[in-house]
Amino acid sequence: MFTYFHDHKNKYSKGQLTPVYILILVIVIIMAMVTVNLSKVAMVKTDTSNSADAGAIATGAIMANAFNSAAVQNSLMITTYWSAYASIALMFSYAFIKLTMAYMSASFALARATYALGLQPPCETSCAAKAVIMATSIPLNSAIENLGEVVTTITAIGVAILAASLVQHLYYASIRKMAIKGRSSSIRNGHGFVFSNSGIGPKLIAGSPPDDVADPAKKNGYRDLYVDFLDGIGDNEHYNYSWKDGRKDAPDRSHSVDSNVHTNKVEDFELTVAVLPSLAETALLTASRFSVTSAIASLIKAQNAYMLALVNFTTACAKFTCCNPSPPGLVCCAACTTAAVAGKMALIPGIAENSSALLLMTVTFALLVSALAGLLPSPVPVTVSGELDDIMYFDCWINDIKHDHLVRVDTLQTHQGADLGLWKTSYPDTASYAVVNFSGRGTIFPPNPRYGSDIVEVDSIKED
Amino acid sequence: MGYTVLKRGQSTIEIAFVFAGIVLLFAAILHIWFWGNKQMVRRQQSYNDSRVTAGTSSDSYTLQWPVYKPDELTEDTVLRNQ
Repeated sequence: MFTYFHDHKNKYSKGQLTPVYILILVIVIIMAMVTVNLSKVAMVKTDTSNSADAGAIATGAIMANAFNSAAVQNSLMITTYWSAYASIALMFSYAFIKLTMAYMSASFALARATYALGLQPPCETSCAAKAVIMATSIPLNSAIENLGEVVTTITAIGVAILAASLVQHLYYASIRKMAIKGRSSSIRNGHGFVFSNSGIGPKLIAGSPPDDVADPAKKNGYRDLYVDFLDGIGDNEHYNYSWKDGRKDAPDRSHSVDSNVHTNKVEDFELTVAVLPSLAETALLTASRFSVTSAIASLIKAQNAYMLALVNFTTACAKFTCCNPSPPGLVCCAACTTAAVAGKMALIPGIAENSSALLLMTVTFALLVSALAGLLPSPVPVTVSGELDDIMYFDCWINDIKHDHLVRVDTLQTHQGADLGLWKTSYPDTASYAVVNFSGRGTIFPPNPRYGSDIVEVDSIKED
Repeated sequence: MGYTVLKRGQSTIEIAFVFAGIVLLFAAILHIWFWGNKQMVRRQQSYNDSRVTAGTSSDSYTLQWPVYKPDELTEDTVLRNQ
């Protein structure tokens, strides 16, 4: 066309405006290309924003779900704790009743023995003393029997506390595992949503790469490999998918999409535990068991002493029948007095053992009250970082899972421009981020499963 | 000769008018192009501004629709780029 105009420029006056039109056409084409370029930048920006938002909301939603599950599980943990506490308190009550009964019986026996010891003169009162000491036998037996039941109950309480403590620990461990797993799952799914919304899929060629494609980046240009990549995403914070356009008729352009999903680790758990550590609780129960066993031993010793005294008082009482002012009667009186005094002497260690048993029972009572109070929830929570860190305590419930409840997702897309000879396109690296807070209105304690995922911050676009 | 001069003069005037028309038309196209490109950026900004609100379930936020409303394309915009 230009050659034609050149050859005939002196013959024709037609087509003088053609260069102007051509110039306008070129300008319009350039304008169209600029517009297409700009729209592509806007589209990539929308893709990065969408993928950051979707990834952050998905991650936050799964984290919220994990926390909601923890809150629900925590309510079960609280119920289990109070149920266990009520059962154990009942067992304690039974032990207190039996201990009180034993105390009353032993006190009665002690009072009788003390009374018998105080009877004067020894020989004349030996029959009365015999009757009084005989009356200590049943209460002492009853006290020993009741204390035996206290020992059994304390053993049962120990087993019940151990079982309840183990159940509470298992609850804690299970909630902990679930929360940690929830975090992994949230990160994995967050990446999935980032890549799914990044607009990669439509840019790739359907199917698997042909065998003659050796370049890994070019292989990534096929959708089947992208699907494999999505399936292989784990719980790492950062993933990247890079590819080159694989079409034969298309320029060999590189593309890259980065995804970074961050949420703090679920490590520290704040637990409400029983006032006393498990070891102190066990020590108290062991001490109270030892104390009761000692009380039983003291009562048996007292019983033996009273039996000896009874034998002496029985002898004295028998001799007292022949005790009179005659010479043989005087021998009887002497034997009576000797036996009665021996009986009283035998009573003294018995009374001492009986008193000791009462003291031991008082100590047991105090120890058991402390043990029961030690199972109540402590007002000072403890923070544990590992699955077995709570083993020293009787867990009541989870007070809180230490976490800032924030998720941040960053995504970056890099697309190489096309070289069209006269025209070279280029696209800026496009990044977006979104921050999600998944606190909602949820709390672990008191259990309120209302955690929810909300975007609280995104990148801003400023007009230049 | 006089007729030829008149014809050439008329052509010159016609071309001048047509040229002025082309320039005006081209200027208008440019202004519409600028307007269009500006709307692309505005739309992107409006979309970006709506992300936080769209991504929250809180009752205290209410998303105002439409998120983006293009600026009016008026005569002033086309002819004077205002």
